Amino acid sequence: MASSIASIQPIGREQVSAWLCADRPTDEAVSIAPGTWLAFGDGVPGPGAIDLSDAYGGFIVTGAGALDVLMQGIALDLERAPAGFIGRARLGDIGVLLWRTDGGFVLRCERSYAEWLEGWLARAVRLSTGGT
Amino acid sequence: MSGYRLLPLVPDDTVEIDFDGMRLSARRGEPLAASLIANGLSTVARSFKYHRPRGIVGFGSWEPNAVVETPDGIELATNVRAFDGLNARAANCWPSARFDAKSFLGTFSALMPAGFYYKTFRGPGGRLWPLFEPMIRKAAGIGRLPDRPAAETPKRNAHCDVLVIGAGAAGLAAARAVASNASRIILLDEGEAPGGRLLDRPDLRIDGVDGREWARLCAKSLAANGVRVLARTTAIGRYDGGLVVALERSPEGRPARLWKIRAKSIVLATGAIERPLVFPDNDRPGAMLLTAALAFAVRHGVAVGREVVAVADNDAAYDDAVALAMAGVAVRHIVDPRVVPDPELVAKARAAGIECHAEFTPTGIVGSPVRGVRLVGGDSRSRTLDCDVVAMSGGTTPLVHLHSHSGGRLRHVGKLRAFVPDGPHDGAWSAGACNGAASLDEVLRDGSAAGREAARAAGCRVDSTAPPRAEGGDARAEPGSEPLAADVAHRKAFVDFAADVTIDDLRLAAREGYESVELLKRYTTTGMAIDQGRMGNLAAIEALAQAKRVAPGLVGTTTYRPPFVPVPFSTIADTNGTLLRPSRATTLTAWHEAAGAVMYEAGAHWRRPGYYPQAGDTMEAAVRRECRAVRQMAGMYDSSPLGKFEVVGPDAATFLDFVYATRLSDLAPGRGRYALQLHEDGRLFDDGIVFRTAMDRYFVTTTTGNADACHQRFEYCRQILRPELRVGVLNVTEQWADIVVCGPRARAVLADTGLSLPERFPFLGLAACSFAGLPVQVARAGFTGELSFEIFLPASAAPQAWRDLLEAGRRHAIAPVGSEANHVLRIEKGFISVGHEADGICGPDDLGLSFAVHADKPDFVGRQALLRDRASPSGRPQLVGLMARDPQFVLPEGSAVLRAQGDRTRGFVTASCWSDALGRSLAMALIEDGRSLTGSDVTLALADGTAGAQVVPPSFYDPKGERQRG
Amino acid sequence: MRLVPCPDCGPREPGEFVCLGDSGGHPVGEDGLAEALYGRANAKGPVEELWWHKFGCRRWLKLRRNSATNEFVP
Repeated sequence: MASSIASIQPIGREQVSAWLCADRPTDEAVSIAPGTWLAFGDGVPGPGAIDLSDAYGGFIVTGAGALDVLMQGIALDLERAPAGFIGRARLGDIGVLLWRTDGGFVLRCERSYAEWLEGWLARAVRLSTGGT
Repeated sequence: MSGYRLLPLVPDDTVEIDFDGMRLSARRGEPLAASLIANGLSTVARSFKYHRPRGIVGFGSWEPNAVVETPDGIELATNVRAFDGLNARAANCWPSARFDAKSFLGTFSALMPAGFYYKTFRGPGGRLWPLFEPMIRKAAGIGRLPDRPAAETPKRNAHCDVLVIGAGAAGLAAARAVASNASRIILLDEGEAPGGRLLDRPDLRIDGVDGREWARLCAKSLAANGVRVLARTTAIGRYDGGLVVALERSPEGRPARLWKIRAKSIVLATGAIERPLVFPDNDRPGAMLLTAALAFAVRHGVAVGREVVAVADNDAAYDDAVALAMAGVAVRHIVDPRVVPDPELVAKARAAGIECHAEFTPTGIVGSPVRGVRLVGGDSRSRTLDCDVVAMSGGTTPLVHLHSHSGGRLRHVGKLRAFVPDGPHDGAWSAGACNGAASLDEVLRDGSAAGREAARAAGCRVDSTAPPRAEGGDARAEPGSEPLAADVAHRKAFVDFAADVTIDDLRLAAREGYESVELLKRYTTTGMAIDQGRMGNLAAIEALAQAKRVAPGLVGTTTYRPPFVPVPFSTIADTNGTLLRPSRATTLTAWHEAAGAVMYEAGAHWRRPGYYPQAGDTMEAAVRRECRAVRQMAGMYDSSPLGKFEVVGPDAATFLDFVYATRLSDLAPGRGRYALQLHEDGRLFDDGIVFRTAMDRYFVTTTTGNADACHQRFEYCRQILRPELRVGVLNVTEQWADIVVCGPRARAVLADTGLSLPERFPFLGLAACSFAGLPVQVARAGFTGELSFEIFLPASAAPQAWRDLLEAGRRHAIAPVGSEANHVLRIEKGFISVGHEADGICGPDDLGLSFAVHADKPDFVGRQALLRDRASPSGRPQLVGLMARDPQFVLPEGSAVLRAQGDRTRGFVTASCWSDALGRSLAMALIEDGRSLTGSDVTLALADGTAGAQVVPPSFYDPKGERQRG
Repeated sequence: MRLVPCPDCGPREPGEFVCLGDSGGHPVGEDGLAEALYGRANAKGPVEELWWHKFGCRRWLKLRRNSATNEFVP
């Protein structure tokens, strides 16, 4: 069963804050461009933040085959990416923000691509052999 | 050739398959080629050009003839696996390989010499081209694709320290030489099981064990140590920087996975394949490679025939012939053109019941399929040996393709009469037979050494155990003859079976002056068919060398390019069309689709409504209705894909004055301005409205299609050109939906929705408003020339707001408007569209946009070139309007504009439509010095004739702009 | 197809980048305008190039690449 290989769970709407400044504005912030920072999740907006809560969509990818699913489209060496790894990368023709967590991956993309990405992930799960 | 099974079929393992309409029994999982041979079929294919009957020649991916059509696609019969219900037919023939309607083409082969295709274009033959063309086109290509779409092949990225390609003796020795427990190693092999050629030779032993068993245990222990071992996987390309692409097949032989492997080091242990001998009729069914005959016998228990004659000019072939005899196949003779073969090998062959004939050269084949082989001895005496299989062995072709793909050099080795890698290249070490190693012991030592080198280069530890030692396998595959015979009369000696190229074709081409190997290849097509010359390239190079009287090493090789074996397009392409390219949806896309809009992909992957047909509407009627709504009452459209940026910082104004040709630093907060970005060469790059929201803050809109390119350019200007400016740029395209309400009743619609606008709200003003409790920004802007309001609101709030506006707008007869109507409305106004009029060639003045350029600013991107352009303004394409002489006729977009009939092209129609508001057709055009032609007539060249039109200023409707400002 | 050395992200696939090549920079003044716009050297050997890490950190990189071997050089 595909679902036993990996599961894809959409992240609902969440608070997303952006800052334009040289230094990291909060510990949670990640850089998406030089001097451009984003933080996801409630309770992080700080002074001067620009609201981007409607600009992102995301998915949590978990299960034994999570790595195999993502490596169908991402060329990064995810096997060697430690838990806690954060970075932007290319998946197919779009840019994604990738987190490696203890149990899998969190993947975020621009909202307009979310529907497409969900379809892409579903297919990757279907085609996955579950191996790493 | 009357093949049979050495091991009888057992019912449990037997499957029924269908080939060319025949029901055949086969062993489950064996190659289709083995099933065909075992069923006694000798003619299983027709050749590409002459439709000559052909049989199986090779094994695995080395088969040049037997191409079959299956429901999964076009494949080699040696790669297709036999499974219940397999239905295959021979390609390139009809109705079957045995009875082919086009076999008459062979009779006309004298009319199809080398370069036949080109000769029909030129010279006296040129007249014949129209005659030949339909025939050539119909005959081109091999096989028919299945009707149903191919299955999806997943792609997979992988990374490793050392990638070993080939799990034969060399590859296994190499993988063993890397300390596997500390490294990431991938070992891949095309075969079902590891071992490579060890699998064919039960007589070989390594480290005291049967070679086959050694390979099995070796691969097993590697896998247990964490090495990823991929069977049925062929590396199809090697690229710069250690990237290898490999195709993995399922046990059924179907494409299963396309690997993209990044390796720090690579060991290329791809082996070598046997060369056929070149003599007349060497392509007759029953003439095949000796190693292929051996592989069918040992691996699949299939004897290729009842009586085999081996024709061989190298020592290794004696061992192979003996192994074939030991496997139970009747090998009657070994015929060797060399004068003194190794007596020890001859003695071994004789002991196995094989008669050996030195100094005999093959001169022809009797029968088709083979009934015998004609020979001539050193004393010029001829004789004929009866047989149904001629097993050829003319030395080997080292498989150097992967080494060469990304630019590795080759050197010619005289003893091998072959090219081998000239040292490691770009992190790839060749080892074993592909590197010219001839005996098994050499192969193992070469593999170990390459494995150690590759491990060190990848920063891995090296395994310190001694390299494996071989017993047996000392005989070398170094060819001793000069076997390049000529075609005899009409009996062709084939060099390239797959492309139907004979030795005489090559000699003719050389005589006609095609003396470069690259030209020879293209002129004769040698090496250009499905096997890409693996069988025949070395012989072709030798033929050219002989003709030029130079050493083969000086002739060189043609360029090796991926893919190494034929790969179905479906494995590389994405067969699921919707996931090939991303598609973007606004938060209103679902509404548009539910409303029955005809959706287009328009700019930057966005799915947008083209128009909203109502019951029975044509597109034309829908577009007219939508245009009328905007001009007379009210329309609304989803402009969310528009590029949107926040530009923030103390130097935001200075930054935008630099990025844009338009002055933006003197904008008051709450006001916007139409602004242009130029390329450095002064041409128009993008346009949009830039609003100032605070002294240190701007809200910038760009075109949809250029949103990403603008982002790139903003960052370029910020990071590279003006790094001293304190400014940040945030792409907020996705955050804000943009609903545009336009038309004479637009203000009333907003009022009825409860959206209160400021008292004083001038054209291009921006106001923070409240809409259903939401903070929104409203701009007085739009692209229709009517009173127009753009409502920027958080994307998630757009669906409700859209429904509210539609509801409130009902009493104002509001209509949703798609991109088709928008196109008409903007032509009526003469607004340019980036991509239509701004085509990368036009500058702002060409498009009548000088009002938006403030060249008195000290500096901005494109300023220098713009100033220079102004010094010589004539001959520029200029934007004008066109009114067709026949007001009912809509000029086709793209039509060429001439000043008069017979004139050269002066420009083209950029946009054209039927205008309901003006009751006639309208067009915009870019014409050389077009503004000076205002009032005069021009001619348009159409696909069928011409049309007349008058040049007018490019603004047809409300040219003063009173409606949008009102 | 060599990996591009990004100082922020480490080596990444070239498909993540936009290569502007030798951009010609931003010409100021008449002198050298045509050179900057159209007169690129297209040299064989080490060349200075601008790359944008579009799918990664979005940094504009100035990289030296050997145009004969495609290797990035320090």
